[in-house]
Amino acid sequence: QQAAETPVSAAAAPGYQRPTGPIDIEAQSADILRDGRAIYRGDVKVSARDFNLSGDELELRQLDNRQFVIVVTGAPARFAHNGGVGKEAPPVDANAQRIEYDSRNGVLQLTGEVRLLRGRDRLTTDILRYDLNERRIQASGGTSGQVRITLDPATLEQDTKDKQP
Amino acid sequence: MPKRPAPLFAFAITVALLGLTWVSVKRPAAQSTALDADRPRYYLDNTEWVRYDANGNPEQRVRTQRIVMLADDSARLTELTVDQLGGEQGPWVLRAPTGYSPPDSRRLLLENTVTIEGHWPGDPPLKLETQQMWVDPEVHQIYTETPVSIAGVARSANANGMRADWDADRVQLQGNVKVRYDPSE
Repeated sequence: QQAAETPVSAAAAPGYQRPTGPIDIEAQSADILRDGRAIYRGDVKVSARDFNLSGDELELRQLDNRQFVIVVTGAPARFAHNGGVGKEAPPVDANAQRIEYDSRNGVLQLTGEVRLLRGRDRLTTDILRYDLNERRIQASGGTSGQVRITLDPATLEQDTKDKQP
Repeated sequence: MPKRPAPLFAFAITVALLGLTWVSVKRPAAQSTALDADRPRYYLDNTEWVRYDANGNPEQRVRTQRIVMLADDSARLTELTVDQLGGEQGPWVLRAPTGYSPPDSRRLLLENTVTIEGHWPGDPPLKLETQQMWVDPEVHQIYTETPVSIAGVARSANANGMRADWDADRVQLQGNVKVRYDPSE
């Protein structure tokens, strides 16, 4: 069992672009409100160029410069990040009670019963921060203080090779 | 909102002077059958019709090329523009080639490719298009159950139906909602 704040980083895939493309949202209903929020309900699906989100409800807050913050909740809410432009990085799949995505920096914050799969590595925790650009995972145990990581031997081997001069 | 007495058409007409023709419809020669609901009773051309709320403030304006009043107290309108919903600052402007107001109702149905300009609440203008849209002064809303497409700045949407209040504080998209956000647009 690793320390609570454990940066588990994966080298950014070469040629990886910030996810600035359009985002498509599907749902059964949507309420768009004067305060700039939009609330989507019912079988919510978000698809962006290289990641997807899904859940029961989504709240989108419009920010300046047409950027936005998305919060998806569900039982669970799900996130999937594909292997990058050339598929050279292992895909990441995660679920949690709540997933927040900020289009300004491409960072996701997962909270509540977080489970993440990256290739064959597995991580469970309460709070996890995932940087889409750098494919960087930072997990902290939150209230339970538990960060449980199971690394696949193949990943360990690869990491040691990467570190050799 | 106190229920107004239900005169056929509780409205005060501000009649544009241009091209007003009041033509009383002569009964067709072969007029022997029972009252035909669709039979026109009279029509007005180039009309601006303003509805006032209980406080005497304008709350709906309809400009139309022609209103035909029918025997069953319904009305058919052609080439109409509806605006000033909820007051002169009302954000919605609706246009349609035809419109219909049912008997004993204050509602107005816009039909046959309704185009609407308005605002996402608190946002730049957007354009909506649908086949039908109700304008309902009873609840101060516009609503439709026919597919609607919406295009705005950095945002577009489609849904099976829509409902929005006249002040555009809230726009509800209903059924099979698909929205695209594109920060780069």
